[in-house]
Amino acid sequence: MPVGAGLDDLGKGLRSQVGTLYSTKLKGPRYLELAEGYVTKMAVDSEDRVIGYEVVHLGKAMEAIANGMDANEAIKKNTSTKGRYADAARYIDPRKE
Amino acid sequence: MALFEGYERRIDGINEVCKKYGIASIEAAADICKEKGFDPAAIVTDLQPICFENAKWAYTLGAAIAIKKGVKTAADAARAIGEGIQAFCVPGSVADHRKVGLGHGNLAAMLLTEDAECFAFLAGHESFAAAEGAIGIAQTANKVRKHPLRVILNGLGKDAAQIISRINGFTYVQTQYDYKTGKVNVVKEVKYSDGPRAAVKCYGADSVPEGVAIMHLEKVDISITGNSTNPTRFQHPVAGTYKKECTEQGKKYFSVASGGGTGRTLHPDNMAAGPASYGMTDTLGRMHSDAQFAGSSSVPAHVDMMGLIGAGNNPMVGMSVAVAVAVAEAMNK
Repeated sequence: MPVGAGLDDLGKGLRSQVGTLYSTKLKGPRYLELAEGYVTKMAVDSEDRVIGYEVVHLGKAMEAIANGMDANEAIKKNTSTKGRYADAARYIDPRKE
Repeated sequence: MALFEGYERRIDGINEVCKKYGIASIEAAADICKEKGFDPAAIVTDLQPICFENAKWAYTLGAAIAIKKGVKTAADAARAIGEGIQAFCVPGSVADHRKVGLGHGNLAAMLLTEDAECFAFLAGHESFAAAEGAIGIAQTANKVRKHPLRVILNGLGKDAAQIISRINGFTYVQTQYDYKTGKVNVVKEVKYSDGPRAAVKCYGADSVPEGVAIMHLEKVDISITGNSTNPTRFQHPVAGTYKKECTEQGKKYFSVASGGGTGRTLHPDNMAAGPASYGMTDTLGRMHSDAQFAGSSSVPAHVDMMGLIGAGNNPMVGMSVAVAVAVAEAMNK
């Protein structure tokens, strides 16, 4: 095994393995940060249950910015959605709602 | 930057296989697929976005081999894809010893022939990797099969099963196990989408007996285990018990252990032996499996460490099936 192979766990755009989620019984879980990056929006269904989320891959965005890309463009290019994001009944900002 | 991870350790084996099939280089393999109108790398990335570059190239080489062989069926394409993945195995690695690349090709071929009726991802419900694999199969396998292949997820925990179903658009099947009679009853089914994904049924069990009963209920004939969370408490005991009961009934059941290998340890007792040791999850897999892969069911880096490619073994099942179907469709145009 090559030296440093363990670092591969972080994937491309090496960043952090730490995620932060906050959850209450009343409102349910709120994803703030995941290993892949900063969660911008969460998608919930008609029963207010999480079915997906939108995330900015911060490691990749920072890499692009370091390579000279405009910051806004870098964030846009490294934003993606997970799960059934498009099927949501509504979208929430996990930091405000 | 090199074309893919571990280039130096892999390229000699790859060039040898390229030569055998009259492919000028690994880069030329991509052109061969492009000419036929499909891109294996895109299919692979779509199923597991965090996979390594070497995974994309391995499937590209496999697809090019299938084209060069002039395969007609998706099952034959799958076996050729296995040769491509095998070419990427680092010489002397666990993946090389176990011929994991060929194993993946053969597993996908089994799923694409009419012999298999139900394939189960037997997971600890720890990761979405089983879902990634299931999506790959659900969206493609039945395009080439006469009788549709049923795909199920069977894991520990009813809440986890429902969350996985909800996020991926599967059908959640809530069951209740009767410990007196040993029967499992379906309480309700919740369909979370329309289309092929809803055909994937996701079960959550409270215990090993319930897990085994679910295997019987669905008449599973091929399964792949998850590797990490709960392997000693759920997936290996379920696979082992079901294997025994199938043997008693004279039923064919092909069990695949997705993980294992060196350093794939679980507890402090076997971690003490260091990264060169074969851990408990590997040992458990050996007790029931007809085929054993190496590394992790989900984490690309762990599968790469075992010398295969950077993609989880569970998503790879979906990748092999999906790329094989794409090859077959391109060849029969």
